[in-house]
Formats: sequence, structure tokens, C-alpha cells
Amino acid sequence: MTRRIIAALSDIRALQLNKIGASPQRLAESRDMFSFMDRELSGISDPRSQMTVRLGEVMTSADFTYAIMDFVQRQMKPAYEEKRFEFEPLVDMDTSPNFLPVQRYQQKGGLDDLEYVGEKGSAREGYIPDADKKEWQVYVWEKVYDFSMRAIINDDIGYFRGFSEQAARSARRTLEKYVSRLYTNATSIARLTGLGALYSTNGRLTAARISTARMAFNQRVDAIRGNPLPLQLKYLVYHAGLVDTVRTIRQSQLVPELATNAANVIAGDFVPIEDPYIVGTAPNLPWWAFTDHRGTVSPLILGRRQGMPGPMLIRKSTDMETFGTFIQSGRKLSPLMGDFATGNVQIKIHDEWGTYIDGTEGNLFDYQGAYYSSGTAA
Amino acid sequence: MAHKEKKVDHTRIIEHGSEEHALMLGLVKGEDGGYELEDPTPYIQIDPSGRLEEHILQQKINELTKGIPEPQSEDPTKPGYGPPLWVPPSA
Repeated sequence: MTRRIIAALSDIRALQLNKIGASPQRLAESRDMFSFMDRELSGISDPRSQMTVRLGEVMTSADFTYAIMDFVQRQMKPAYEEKRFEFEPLVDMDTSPNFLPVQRYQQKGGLDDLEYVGEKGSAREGYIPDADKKEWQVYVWEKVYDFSMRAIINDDIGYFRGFSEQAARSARRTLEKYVSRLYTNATSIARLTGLGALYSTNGRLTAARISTARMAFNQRVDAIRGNPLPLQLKYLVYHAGLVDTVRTIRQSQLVPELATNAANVIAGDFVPIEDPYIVGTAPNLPWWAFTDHRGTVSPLILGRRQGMPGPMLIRKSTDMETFGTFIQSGRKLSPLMGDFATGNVQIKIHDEWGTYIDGTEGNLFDYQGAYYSSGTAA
Repeated sequence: MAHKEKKVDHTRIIEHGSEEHALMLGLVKGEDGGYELEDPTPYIQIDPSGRLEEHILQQKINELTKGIPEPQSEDPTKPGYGPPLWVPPSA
């Protein structure tokens, strides 16, 4: 009777798993578990069984329920997802051939204006400005994990099955935090606040203040000649607590404080990017504005080594082999067997990136492309 | 004959709280010495009660007079917070 119940339960479980779209592997595991229980209850000895105590045919109903629950109803729920920071538009991607510092030069001012020369007068000498030199390099970012071989084999609910996805997410998250810190660090902030009201403010995010920031970009000049720069506010990067503020600003048709015709002139003029890693507590909810680095001003730079566009998941091969006799050559074991000494399986997540670092500029590759607000004043 | 130029920084700096900053925000000094909006017309057109004008004026005065917070890495709940600049330990 009990075996018939188990057969029925096995079928029901297969239907349940089919309904939720379980993998063939999961279905096979479930079938195996019921078969195992069936064999143990049948009284027929199974040479594969490692059990020293056999299941008894006679169980109370509570025991039986418990056994079924323990065998069948363990499964993993999907892991927590994490908020992502889509930082790509903000950074100028560059590459270096190795881990040594690379230099980038940029002319940040044109030649002199011409001057009036009177009759029989001679022209004055012009000056060629020095190119601005910036240096950056790539660093290595890693984390190593050490698994027991038995833990991996005993993992009957797939706890480690998503490890590679988690590893990729870990590398991406680290990079996201790194990019966020390029402008949120105190040195980068000090650089912008020290440059005055064309580069920073203290106000909470409002439509009027985005307009002020836009006009601040419009009034910037190059440091060499003082000539106006063609800069525009392209990206608005904001604290997670300002999501609705940004949405309201973008969706409002009328923002009376912005223009005499009462139209919201900034609504579609910037690209909003939420940075979940900006730290702040109301009323201090900071926000930043950046230009488009695809022009000639790159506020932030993110470097990678050539041939390393993304993270790598690395596994240490086992140092063990199986053999028949001492004189015969052996056969390498699966990496899942781990190492000879302890049976440990070692996995490493590896990535490489870097940026410009300077004691005065912070990580601002070009301060002309950035604007900061502490988000403090009402 | 072309020469290299002596380095002079022409970056335009408008000090926070300065008169130039006030003008940048569209504020002018009134007869009583306080700040007024340089052009209140659009706000009065939209809200004749003057409440909108008052709101915008106060927003701009706050921005002008409260000063920019000193950048700091100690307290994330205080204004001007930013974590320290990351520098490789070996550098």
C-alpha cells in the first residue's frame, strides 16, 4: 500500500515540477528520491545504499509525512536580486596594454586670438599651450572561494548551482561601486566645491536648480585661454531617494519658474541615471550632473586591459590522479575532487580595471564635465 | 615665432554667496537691502497671489546664503559626505 502511495506521490511531484518549468535534472532528482525511498521500503537490499538503519514499513502517519516532506519539499527559492547601476554612459572607456601607467595628453586651449596690427607694425608672438597630461593604470580585483568537495557533492538543492551567475554579479557590483566612488569621494567633491557656483551648489533637486546647473555648464570657459566651452548637461545622476522628484520634473509639462512661457524647458533635456550607491540621508540627498563624454570633455575615465573586457571565473585544477598500479600512468581527476591535502575546491573571480587618481582632482579626469550638489538647502 | 605659454589658470570661479552668485541665480538687491527676483513677471503671471514668487525667491536665497557644505568622510548623515578617495595601498 505504502509503495503505491509513493508511486502516486512521485507522479504528483513530477506534474508539480513540470508545471513550474523545473529542469530535466530537477525532475530526475525527484524521481531518484522516490525510487530510493521505494527501494528502502521494499526490503530488497540495494548494494548502492549506504544506509545503516533501514526505513521501517510500519510508520505512524506523522512519521511518514515528515519523511516525505524532508525528501521532497526542499527546494531553493530564487536568490535576492540587486539594484543595478547603469553607469556606462557616464564613463569614457579606455584600454591599456598592461598594468603599467599609461599617459593621455589633451590640448585644452587653442592658439591666441589675433591682434590688430597697425601700419608698419609687427605682430606679437603667439604662444602654444602645453598639452594637459593625465595618467592612469589598471589594477587587479579578485576574490577567492574555497569549497569542500563534500559540500558540493552533498548539495542536493542546488545551493551552489548559481555560483557562476553570482560571481559575475559580484564583479559587476564591485565595478558599479567603484564607478560611483569616482565622483562621490570627498576629494572629487572638494575639487568641484572649490571651483565655486559654476561647478557646485548646495540645493535640493528642483527643476529650477537643474536649470541653474545647465546654465553653469553653459558659462564654463577653458582654463588656458578663458574661451567659452561648448558644454551641456547631459546626465543627471541622483540618490535613490530622488527617483520621484526626477520623475515629476521630467513629466511636468509646465514648470513656471523656468521660463516666461511657463513650459518645462528641461524635461527632456537630460538623461536621468539612478546611482543606488550614493550615500545620503534626507535632507542631504546629493545629486550630480555630467556632460556627454563623447564630446571632447571626459569627466570620468574607466580603463581596462586589452583583451580583458570583463571578469573571469577561474578554477584550480585538482592535483590528484587515479591509477591502477604504480608503474602505470594515472588519469587526472575531476576538479570537483579538490586538492590532495584537504579535498578543497578553489575558485577565483578575477577582473581588471582602473582610473585616474589624483590627490587634488580626485577621480575627475576633467572637472569641466561635472557638477555637484550636496542636496542640502531647501 | 611660437612659444610655449606660461601657465595661468583662466577657469571662471564664482564664489558661493558672492554678488556674482546672486546675479547668476537671478537675484538682485532690493531697496530694503534684501534680495528680490530680478524678473518676477513670469511667476506673477502664473500665480497672481505671489506665493509662487515667494517660494522661488526663498529657494534661491537659501541656495545663495547657506554656503556649500565642507566635504567630509566622517558622517554619512551630515551634508557634504563622500567616502575617502580610493588609492591603491601600495601607491
